[in-house]
Parts: sequence; C-alpha cells; structure tokens
Amino acid sequence: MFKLTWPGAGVEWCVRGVVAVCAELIPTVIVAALACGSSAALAQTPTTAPVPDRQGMQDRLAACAFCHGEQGEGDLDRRGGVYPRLAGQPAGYLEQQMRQFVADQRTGIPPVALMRNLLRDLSPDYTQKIAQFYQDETPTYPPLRKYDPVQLQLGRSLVDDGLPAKQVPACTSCHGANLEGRALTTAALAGQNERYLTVQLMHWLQGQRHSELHQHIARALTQQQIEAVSAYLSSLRPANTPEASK
Amino acid sequence: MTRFKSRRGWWWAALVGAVATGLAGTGAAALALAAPPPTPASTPASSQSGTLERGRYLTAIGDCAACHTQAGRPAFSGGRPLPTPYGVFYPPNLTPDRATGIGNWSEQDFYRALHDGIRPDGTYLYPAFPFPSFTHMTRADVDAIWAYLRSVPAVARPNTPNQLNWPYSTRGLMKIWRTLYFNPGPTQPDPKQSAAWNRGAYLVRGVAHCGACHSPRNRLGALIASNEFAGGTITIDGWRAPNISQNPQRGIGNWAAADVRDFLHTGHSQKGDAIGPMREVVQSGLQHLSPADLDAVVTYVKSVPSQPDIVGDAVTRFNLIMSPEGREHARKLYHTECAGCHGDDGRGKPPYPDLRGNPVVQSLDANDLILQILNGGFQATTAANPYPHSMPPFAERLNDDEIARIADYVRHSWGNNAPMVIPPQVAARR
Repeated sequence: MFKLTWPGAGVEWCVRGVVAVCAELIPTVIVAALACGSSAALAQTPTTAPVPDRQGMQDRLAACAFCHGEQGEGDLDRRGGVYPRLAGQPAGYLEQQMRQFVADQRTGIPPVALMRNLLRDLSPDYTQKIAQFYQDETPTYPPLRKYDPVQLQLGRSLVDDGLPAKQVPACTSCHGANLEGRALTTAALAGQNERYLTVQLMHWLQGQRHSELHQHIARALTQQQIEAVSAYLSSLRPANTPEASK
Repeated sequence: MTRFKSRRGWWWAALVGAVATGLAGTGAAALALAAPPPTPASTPASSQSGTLERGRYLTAIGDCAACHTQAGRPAFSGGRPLPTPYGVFYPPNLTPDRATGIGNWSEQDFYRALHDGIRPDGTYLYPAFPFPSFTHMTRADVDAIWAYLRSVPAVARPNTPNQLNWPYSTRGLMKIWRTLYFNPGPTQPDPKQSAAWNRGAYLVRGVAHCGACHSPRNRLGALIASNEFAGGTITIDGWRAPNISQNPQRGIGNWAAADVRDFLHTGHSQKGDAIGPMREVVQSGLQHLSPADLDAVVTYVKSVPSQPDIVGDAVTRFNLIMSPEGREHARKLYHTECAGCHGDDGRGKPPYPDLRGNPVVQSLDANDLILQILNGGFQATTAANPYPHSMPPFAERLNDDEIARIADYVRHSWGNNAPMVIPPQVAARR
C-alpha cells in the first residue's frame, strides 16, 4: 500500500512514481529482449545438469561472497563497508541491477567494473537463480551502532514524510510501508548498509546510477539530510529477522 | 594443405612501401582497381533448410556475433569498437538491411569478401576481418553462412567509420600487404593425415579462425605462419590469447585429449578454464561443435607442433628471482588466499583447475594471470555447465605487491617456471 504523505500530493507522486518506475524498466526490458534474441542464435542444447541446492549455490557464488558475504549479508567492516546487503532483496530488483551492470547502465568506482566482468556472460536463467538465492537468504543483522537520536529523528521524518517543499516523496511511498521493497524492481531499504545508501545517493547525484526520481531526491537533499536518511534506514530491522547479539 | 610462407622481417619493406605510396599520393585509386581472382562456381545445396541450419552452425562456430554485435544491440548489427595498434575498427552491420547492412549484396559478393577479402565495390578489406582464415572455407560453407545471415532480422544501423592511424587509413595499401602476406585458399586436405585431422584443421584454421587470436602477428598485423598457435600478440579487452601448441610448459602439451575436449565443450577442464574473451567464444561458439567436429578439432589441436612463446613483457629480459624471505611471504599469501580452491600443491580441487603446467600461469607474459587474479570471474555458462563456479576478484582485497607475489609464487612452484612478476605489472592492469 502506498502511504499518502500530504494532502493532494500523494496521488501526484503515486502517478509520478509509477511513471518513473516504468521509465526505469524500459531499458531493462529492451536489454532482456535483446539478450533473448542474441542467445537464440543457436538452439540451446537441453541441459541435464541438476539445479544446485542452497549449499551448491553458496559454493558457486564464491566470487559474490568475497564482498557481499556468504549469505549476502553485506560488508560493514572491511574496505569501508560500501558493499550492500543482498539478502532479502526482491529477486526482481537484484536481477534488474545485474542486467544494468552488464549493460553499463551503472558506472563509476572500480567495484562497478568488476561487477560487469563477473556478470557479463551469465545466462538469464543463472542470473535469475542467483537473484532468488539472495532473496531467500536470512542472515543475521549486525548489532546496531550507537545512533544520534536527533539524526535518527530527522531521518525518520524524511523517510516517512518526504520533503514536500522540495517535492521529495516519502521513501515509504514506493519502497513499501515497512521499506521491505516490492516484488518487481523496488529495493528493500530497511537494514541496508548505511555507507552504501549514502554512496548510492551520491551516485544518482553524479549520474552514475540512472533514475530521474532518485537524482531529483539526491539534488534536493543536503549532505546532512542524506546521512540522516541513510542512518535511519540502516537502523530499521524487518520483522522476524534474527539479530546478532551485541 | 596450403602452407603459409614465412615472411618475417618483410614488414619493414612493406612499411617503406606504404610510406612511399602515401607520400606519392597516387596509390589508393590505382591499387583499388585490382581484378578479383576467379572463384569456383556454387555447389547446389541439398535442401534449403539444411543449408540454413548449417549456416547457423558455422556462424556460431566462427562466432561472427562476437565482433559484429555491440553489447545490448541486436545480433550482427555491428558497431562494437575493436581497438588495435593500427587504430579502432568498427565491424560493419551484417544484417540484411538494404541501406545499412548487406541487404544489397549477392551471394557472390559475400563469397568474394570471405574468400578474397574484397568488398563488392572492389576495395580491400583489412585483415582485422579474418579473411586470411576464411579463405580456407569451401564455397558451400560460405554460401550456407550467407543463407543464414539473409535470415536474421534486418536492422537499420549505419556503420561507424573506422578510425585508423595513418598510413593504415589508406585502404589501397592493402594491395601491398596482400602481395606479401595473403595466400588465397581453400586448404587442400593432407592425404597423410586422417579424415578427422583434416576436418579439424579445416575448422580450426578456417571458420573458427583460432589463429586470429592465438597466433602471433608481425608489425603489420599479418599472422606469423612459422609460429602458428604460439600465443597471440594482439589483446582483446586487455587479454592476450595463450600458446595452444603442444609446448608442455607454455602451451597445452600436457593436456590429455579429454581435457581439450572438456575445455571446448564445457568451458572447464581440470587443466584450466576458459577465461577472458575465451569464455564468450566457448559459450556462443565452441560448445555447439557437433560430437564429430569436436573430436576433429581435438585431434588437430593435439597435433600442433610445440612452439616457444615469443611474446613477453619487458621484465622477461631480466633473470630476476624472489628472495627466500619474499618467497616464504608469498607462500603464506597463497596458502591463505588461494589454497582453499587450488590446493597447497597447486593441483586444484575440482571444479577448480590445476595450476601446474597451465598455459595461463606459465605464459612468458604474465598478463592473463594478473588479470585473472585481479578480476576473478565465473566459468563459462554452457549447456554442460549451466551453473558455473566462480573465482573471487582480488583487486579490492590485495595490493599490487601481494598480487605480484602470489602470481610469482604460482609461476615458480610445483615444477612451473616462468619469468618473475613485479608490482608495476599489476598496477598497470588495474
């Protein structure tokens, strides 16, 4: 359900949100269609290999685990913690992002080039299975850091209500009331890496990720507001997920 | 079997000729007037659908799409930049679009392009298009490819002009190049060899044009016939194709026929995996080889005489070795970072490959080894291995010194012996 954040503005943002999501989907659909077209050049030999089980997937994804953790828990400690938590993300969103890396629609710092090299020759079927694997994983969350209550309060108001004066919608209006993401291609934000979230907003600001809506949001917010949003989102924990003891 | 004549050392003569012709400013038009060599008549195809199917098969084995398709664009619509020492080539649109593709070509035009390297307007094709390999194909096979390309969807995409450096930008100079280096086919079978060997030679040296990447080239881009399959000089996306001769140290001399077979069919063998651009070559091409053709290719490849590596980095000129303390540090790094999959003995724990006698590990030029450690990657995704395993990228985890130490350690362990790797080589490839 969409959360209407201010009178009269909610419907408009719902519409704009849907339009923006559709606009983001178009290149993905085109790329997917082309991928199907070109791989159809020779009839695929039917495969007899069994689909790997969870352990089998974990073994195969050693390259991913290096930065994102064996269960996709993300990385908070090593190398600045810019590697996002993949566990629990909607599979559709993960698939979309993997395709965008391959199509050079996400650019910038070196890990992005590494992602392209890793993902470029995977089949659509395997890409989907990898996305599904991470969606289904439920690793523990790291213990919460000590947050500044004032910062958290600012973050909460921005996330829940947006910034109507600057036409910034609430995060909850698209990402779900509990910020758990949505089936199609909307990311889960609750419990995501704080540093990662900040870096992504910077990427939209600098045009390294492409979304008019998010670029608008990143432009409208101050550095302090971006950090507050990232801090608040990282402090949330989806219901029924275990948390490591402190 | 057509024998290429070795003409090493002649590049300078061609270069002098090229410069002289360029300065005289007269060459191009006159040179383009060369009459096309006579071509044998077409053999009638048994059935149209059979021809189409064989064309589709040969187009896959030749992996035409690799160069003639840009990432994210429709198949065969061209435009993928191909950087070379001579400038950037933009392979053209091969779809049947009349205005921008080859929709206005005839079957004869197409054969002339593949067999003679001459375009319908009479101008010369550059050897970035591997016509010196395709010239070995039979008329029937070329016609089958033509039939298949006629059947793909037409895409209107205007060709991007090549951006070549002078004097290479003067297409007419190809006349001189051709006189020096081009021997038109087709290959005659060698009666002393088996039918499988001859079929393998035909595929490897013809449509699959393995030598285009795996054979060294002289300074004018011509393949050096006397060093066939000794490893490439050009790079693709930074990767350099290794020695695939029977050299037991730098090539694949200690691979069993079954290893070569596994490698070509699945992208993975216990002796080594398809990495870099080869991953794509196996995925879209070689994995589709019919069982008989696969056996033929293996038979031929296993017969290629041993060749020394002739391409090395500057560092290979110096006989450097690591100090005992440095080596102990390197051993610990290897044990922590690599032994989990490749084993302390370097044998590899299946499905992770053996590092002993592995051409990527022991190549004179450490380029591909360094790139693989930096970037990691999945094995090829093939029908036989649809859910491949992966190697992590170490670029973010280890510094130049650590990666150089590990690379050097694997090049000097378990009987391996190859030149030292130093940190600047790693830094240059990040």
